[in-house]
Amino acid sequence: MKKNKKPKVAIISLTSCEGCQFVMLDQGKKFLDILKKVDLEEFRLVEDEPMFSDHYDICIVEGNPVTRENIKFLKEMRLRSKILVVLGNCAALGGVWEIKNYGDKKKIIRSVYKKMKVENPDIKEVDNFVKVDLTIPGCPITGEDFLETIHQLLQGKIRRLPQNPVCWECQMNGYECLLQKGEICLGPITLAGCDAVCLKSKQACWGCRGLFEGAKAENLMNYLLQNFTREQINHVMEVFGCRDSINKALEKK
Amino acid sequence: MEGHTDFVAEILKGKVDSAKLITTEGARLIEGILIGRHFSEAPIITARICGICPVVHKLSSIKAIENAFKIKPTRQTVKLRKVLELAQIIHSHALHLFFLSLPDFFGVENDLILVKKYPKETKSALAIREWALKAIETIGGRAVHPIACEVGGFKVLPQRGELRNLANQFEPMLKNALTLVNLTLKIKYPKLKRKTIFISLANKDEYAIYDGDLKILSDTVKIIKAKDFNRDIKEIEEPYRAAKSATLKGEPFMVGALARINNNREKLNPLAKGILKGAHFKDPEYNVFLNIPAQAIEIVHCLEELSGLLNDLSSTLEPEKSLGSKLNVIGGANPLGREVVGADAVEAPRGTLYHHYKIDKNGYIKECTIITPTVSYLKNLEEDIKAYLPQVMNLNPQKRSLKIRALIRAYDPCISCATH
Repeated sequence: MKKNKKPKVAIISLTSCEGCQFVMLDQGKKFLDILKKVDLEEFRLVEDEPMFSDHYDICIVEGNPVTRENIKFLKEMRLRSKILVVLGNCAALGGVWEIKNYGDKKKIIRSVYKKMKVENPDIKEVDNFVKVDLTIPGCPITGEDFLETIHQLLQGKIRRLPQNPVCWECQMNGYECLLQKGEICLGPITLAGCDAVCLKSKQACWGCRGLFEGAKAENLMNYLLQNFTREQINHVMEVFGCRDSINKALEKK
Repeated sequence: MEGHTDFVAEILKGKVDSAKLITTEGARLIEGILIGRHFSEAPIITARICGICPVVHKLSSIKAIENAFKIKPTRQTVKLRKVLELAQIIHSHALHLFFLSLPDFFGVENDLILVKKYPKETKSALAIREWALKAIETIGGRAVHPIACEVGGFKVLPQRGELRNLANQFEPMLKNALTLVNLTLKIKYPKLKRKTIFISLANKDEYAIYDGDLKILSDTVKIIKAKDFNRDIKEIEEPYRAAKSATLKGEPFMVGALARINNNREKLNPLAKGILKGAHFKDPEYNVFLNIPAQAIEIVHCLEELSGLLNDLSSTLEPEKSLGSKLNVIGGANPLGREVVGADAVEAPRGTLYHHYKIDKNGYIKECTIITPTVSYLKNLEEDIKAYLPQVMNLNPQKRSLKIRALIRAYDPCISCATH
């Protein structure tokens, strides 16, 4: 048999909307070109019966481990994989479902299921369960981040994202500052790389890419508290699961 | 398949007699977490139910909240929303048709092999998806999880020139669509006929996608208001899956492309109507495998519709402020200042999608119900599997599994949407 030297890749999805996988697919030809360079052995979005391999060079994980089955699968895949990349906000920061961590979980589930027993754990980020080598952030991820990260990975490099705030990109693009306009915007502390896409549409940044290293969370909090209630600020921080990491950053100070 | 996995696997393991579809997607409790949140968060959060059809969740949520607040969007807003919806249906259908359902009928194991075997069709499917995604990005600000649409209108508007550029692509896109149509019409589909109820929106002016009443087609035709969707349609919980399912007064029913064509075929645009004629659909057509060519025909219909809308908007679009420009911030007031209830539906790629909210006097959500198309047709799918089993019973287990998988995929189920 001919020896195959292409890196073996798995793309797996835990509980999520699968939007990040669609961003990947939506790269169209560029995505298909990447596929030519790898052995894709597990990608259930397009293939229902994957071959299971003992070893993967790269495992890309989308979604959040909400069920015990999800956790088991994630841990198994970690053991089999050299590099584990997490894809998107659900995996990296918990996803919008992390909102329930701040409410009464039992009450929340009873408002959805009257009698069914459904697993209802606290939502935790993937790195609480396994070691994560690389994160592609965002809700959803950007196609550019994905292509560049994988491109570098295939050359044996671990990509480091430039640590800038969304504000930086927002200003470069000349968009209107919504913070100054009087909205709660997390742009000053959120990791750039999205090209301030929300601000382009006059939607304030709600932090889906998480904090950048060195973000001054306390400055922004003090500023926001002059004009908004803590509850209002919490709401915005909770939607994309960054309330816990912002609180952690505040505690450090 | 979107959402997947054990959904299929359980059946493939041989537990076919009971025809139960097991889902193992974790419950995200979207309707639960929305309680206590500000209404402006709902379109943003509910879009995250599904990465393939975020547009329809967003719009359904926006429409329901506008109904609650008695906000009537401008005609321009409605036109722009229609563009988003039609483009959403096109890209979802193109993906499902070509990449997710066709491998079953061409005897190839997976889509990646199909891509190699049918380069021309692959190119067409990719091009048409790319164009539809571009249309969503142009108006919504982003293809997956669009940003610009909000309760009351749009936060920002596209440029006329951008819309003109999209409109100019109509001819080549139509050609691509016809390539896909031809491919789906070439297939010899299994024969499966089981009488059922078809439900979709319907309206007298057009092939209903964005707006309309609810048309219920059984032996008789019944029309009810879309906001009353959950009066006779009830969700049920079943012990074997986190996804709920729904019935109409205890009866399973079908939604989606086939239901829409059965309900509204005379409203299809000319080209699509002509293709339907040549495809020899019965009236109504009960074979759910024909949901696949029905989706292909809808792509052509949506393209024709889009061409008209884009041409119109690219010469008439005027700057206008969103009616919700002061409301859509956290803590923004409930404009009516009292507790309100609102509901509405849109046609998602997979069928009628219903959102319902109760909002308190300060603008915070007290109650939320979302019924997705996959929830709606899950029972119907189980009944169809039961009806199909005798035909495939004598095949060896592996072949039998493939046949059943093909039936499931013809429905284009989305378990992310089902287990929200």
